Amino acid sequence: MPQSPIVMPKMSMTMTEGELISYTVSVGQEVKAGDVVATVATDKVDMEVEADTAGTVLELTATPNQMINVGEPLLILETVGEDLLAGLFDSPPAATVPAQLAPAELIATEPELEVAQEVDAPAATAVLAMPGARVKAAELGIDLTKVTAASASGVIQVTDLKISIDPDRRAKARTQIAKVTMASAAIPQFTVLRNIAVDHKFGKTAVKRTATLLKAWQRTLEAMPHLHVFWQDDAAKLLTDVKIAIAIEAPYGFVTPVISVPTTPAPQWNSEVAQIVAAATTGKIAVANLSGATTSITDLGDYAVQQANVMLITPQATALSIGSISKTPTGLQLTAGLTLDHRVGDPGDAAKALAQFEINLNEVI
Amino acid sequence: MVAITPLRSPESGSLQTDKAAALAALESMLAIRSFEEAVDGLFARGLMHGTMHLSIGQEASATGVCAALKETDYITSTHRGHGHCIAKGADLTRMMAELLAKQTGYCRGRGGSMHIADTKTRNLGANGIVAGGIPIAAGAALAQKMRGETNVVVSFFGDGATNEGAFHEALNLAAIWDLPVVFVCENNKYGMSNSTELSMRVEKISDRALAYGIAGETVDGNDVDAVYQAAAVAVARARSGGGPTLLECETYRWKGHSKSDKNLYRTKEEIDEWKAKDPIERFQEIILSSGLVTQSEIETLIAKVREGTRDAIKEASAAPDSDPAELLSSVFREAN
Amino acid sequence: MTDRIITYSEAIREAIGQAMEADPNVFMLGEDIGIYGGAFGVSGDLYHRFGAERIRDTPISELGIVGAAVGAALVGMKPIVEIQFSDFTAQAMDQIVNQAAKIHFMLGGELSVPMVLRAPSGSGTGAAAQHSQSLEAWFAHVPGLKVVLPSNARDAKGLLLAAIDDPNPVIVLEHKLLYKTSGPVPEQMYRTPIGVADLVREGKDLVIVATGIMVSRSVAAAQQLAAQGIEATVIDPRTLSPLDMTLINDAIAATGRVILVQEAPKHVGFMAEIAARIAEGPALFSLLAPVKRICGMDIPIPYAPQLEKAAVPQLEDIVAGAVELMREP
Repeated sequence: MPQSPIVMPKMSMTMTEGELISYTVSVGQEVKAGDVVATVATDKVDMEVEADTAGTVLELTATPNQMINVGEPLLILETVGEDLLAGLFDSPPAATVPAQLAPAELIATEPELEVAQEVDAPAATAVLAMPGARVKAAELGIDLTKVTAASASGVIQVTDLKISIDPDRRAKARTQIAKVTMASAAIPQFTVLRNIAVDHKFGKTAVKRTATLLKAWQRTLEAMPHLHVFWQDDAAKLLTDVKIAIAIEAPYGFVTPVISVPTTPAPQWNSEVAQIVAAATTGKIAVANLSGATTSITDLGDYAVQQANVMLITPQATALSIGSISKTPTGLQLTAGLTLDHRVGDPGDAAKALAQFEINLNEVI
Repeated sequence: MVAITPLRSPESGSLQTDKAAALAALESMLAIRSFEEAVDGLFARGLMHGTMHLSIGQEASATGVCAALKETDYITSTHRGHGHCIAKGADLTRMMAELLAKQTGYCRGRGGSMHIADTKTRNLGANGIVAGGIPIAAGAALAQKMRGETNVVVSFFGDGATNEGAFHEALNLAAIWDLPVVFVCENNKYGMSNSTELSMRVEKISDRALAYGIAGETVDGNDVDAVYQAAAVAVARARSGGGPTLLECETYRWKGHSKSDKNLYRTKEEIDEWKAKDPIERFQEIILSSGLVTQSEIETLIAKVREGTRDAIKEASAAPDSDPAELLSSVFREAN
Repeated sequence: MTDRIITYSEAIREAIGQAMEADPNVFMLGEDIGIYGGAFGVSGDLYHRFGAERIRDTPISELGIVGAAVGAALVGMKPIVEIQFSDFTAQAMDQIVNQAAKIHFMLGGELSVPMVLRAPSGSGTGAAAQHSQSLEAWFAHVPGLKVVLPSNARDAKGLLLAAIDDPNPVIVLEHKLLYKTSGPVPEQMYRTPIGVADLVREGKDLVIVATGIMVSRSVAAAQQLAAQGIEATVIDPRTLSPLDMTLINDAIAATGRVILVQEAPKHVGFMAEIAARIAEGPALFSLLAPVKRICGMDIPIPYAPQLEKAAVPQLEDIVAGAVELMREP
């Protein structure tokens, strides 16, 4: 005869187990469908369990007060008809192997969540800043912890990056600039200007333009070594490596980081230039990078300035200045100025140098 | 695919005097019972997830009403909708697959027990909202009327739904527009735990038809032939342009409202009293004693239904689980 | 065919009329849309053109109307429901939210509800708290509903025709104050695609994202700002669900500043969603100033004209907001 289990019923959506309170039938007793066979408790409520089919009680498989998982048998009936679900789920739901009978939480059980690996939380930054300001600060190499927010919210905004000026530092910077320019004022120097036609590819970005100017000017001086000198002790001293100081506007005034141009093409050189320019913009340039220049370039192209008469930085003998690009009927042009120590050369030398520079510049472009 | 033998509307006008119609009606009731007992068993054993509402004890109303319908007629159903779905001819395998959270289920696992619809058998869907389907039925009926179709729409709902505003609005619209719809209230005495004695002052729910100027009738909802005959009249009225009917079938659900019901609001005596009025046993006795069918024919039918249910479970269990990958793309229908 | 200057209301009526001529399944149902011509006159003469069957006057029965539309749509009709005031959708919320929005998904994808629900929205008519709300965020929060807010006559026609074509439920919120405004509208049946934002005006300094009546108000504000040297881009998302963020993100990338303008109360309003998407997306890193919302006050709409005006953003609020935003870095 078929055997059929009566199981701990799942009586609510969340129930996973129940307590057997008592049996109301005994082994050998005949039951009809709908007869109460046991009382179980769940959520502190007693519930009667009914037989869903007629049969004879073959075995009571649990003991009162026992906790039983949903789907596990309370008792086994020997039945006339077979259980509707008999044999549909793996081993037959007869009592032979009760444990396999009830994959009780086949669906109801949720997989245990793996505990997420503990990760050190990023250090809480005290600095509040607009995302745009953070991007700009990173570009400029500005340390946001040193910037004061102007707005009441305390959030650093882009304008704060420009106004975070330390007056003492500014005063010191001016003193330094005064020293350099006063020394320069004692030198006989003149400036020659030339309009230079440039290819339209010139100057797409500031860094690219700077790199181009550096290369072109380096080549120019290499081609004209008699101008690449220091006037010291009443004599021109020839220099070997061209080391160009590029004047950059920084919070405390112009700074002049030195950038060497590699003799062989180096792919990462452009990004080096970018880094040095960015660092200099915020006055964060290493002292080592501020000395040893043999010449200088001042690029005022961003300021819509046509031309500038810049001063030499002693003991350098040359200073190149670049004005903004303008359109002419024949193409683009800019005005370049070369300031020269008169003791080193004459206006004719400067004019030749600029002509050479025009050639070099367009070659580099 | 497992489905019942299609129900028949016999020329004799009674399910009790037409053998094929009687056997089809019995098969429908047995199939509903068997399907729901299986669901109950699967849930009790922890093999089925969620919740579901069983209509065991109410099989005659779904069966009797659907026997009065043509294949092209529509139904809207309720949260207690397995019976309506099966009686209208749905595939038990796809129903079971839906309840077992399978990709092959009617709703691909997105709806579960309360949201099964079947375009093939023109079941516009079960509904998780009490009375939610009633205005929808009115609208589907409006569409039939506007298009000059002769199809009828049956809206099944419970006693509790008749206290909802949607019931009022839908019956009023259907009445003023003479819509081809039959409102079938399966009064099983309880809206969850709230009895009709507590929830309404009218004696019969069909009395409410008066308020809309439509026909209303109450029948013994456990007598499948009585339900059929009353439904046939209402359906004919609707089909011929005579407007809606409110048909009340008095019945009883044996099981709790849902899977969390502990039956605290009603007595065991009351449940037993209604179990004694089992619509299946009653109908079997009638057609046996009249000699319309034999005991062995009934036994063959019971065995067939049992195997059908088991086949549905087997086939559904073997299907792949429903697939989360297609969830986001399922919210809207793509434009053609 | 050339564009004519017609009103927003006429544009909607023209769209419904053309859709009904083209497809016998399209019909309209709502309160007082028949001989009365609609509470805001939108249905106008449609009743005389198409008759009582297809311009179907209903009792005051919002839940029943929407439910009937859902049922008709399920079996292949294309109903256009007019709810007299968008506030009254609260009466029909079960059918909109639990039925129309979910049926396609919940029932496994075989059925869908090609229903259009139109409703006048917004304040400015002295109708007070129960007839003046801007409830777009309610609907936009429900997966399964598409939500469009036409801000001009051209879009009113184009978006409505697209909504009628759409196999899903579409909520069209029309602004009461726009009904009598006019603009160029093509005569032919054209569709304004659902889910594509509109670049109304281009400017380099900041972006104003605005919906409904706030679009024209923002354009007027942008004109005043231009006189002060501030050039604003104005974007009308047009469709809230699904939302097109591409244009908004691109515009923010170009300007770094954004103002979000809505009539509805600020708290948990739709612009909060746009602000969140900005914060989640690439546009965040272009921001030069915090996102600014200019919204209705978090109060019911009051009756007195001066109170009603104070409750929702006006032209000068948008101008002041933009100037303030430009003063940020």
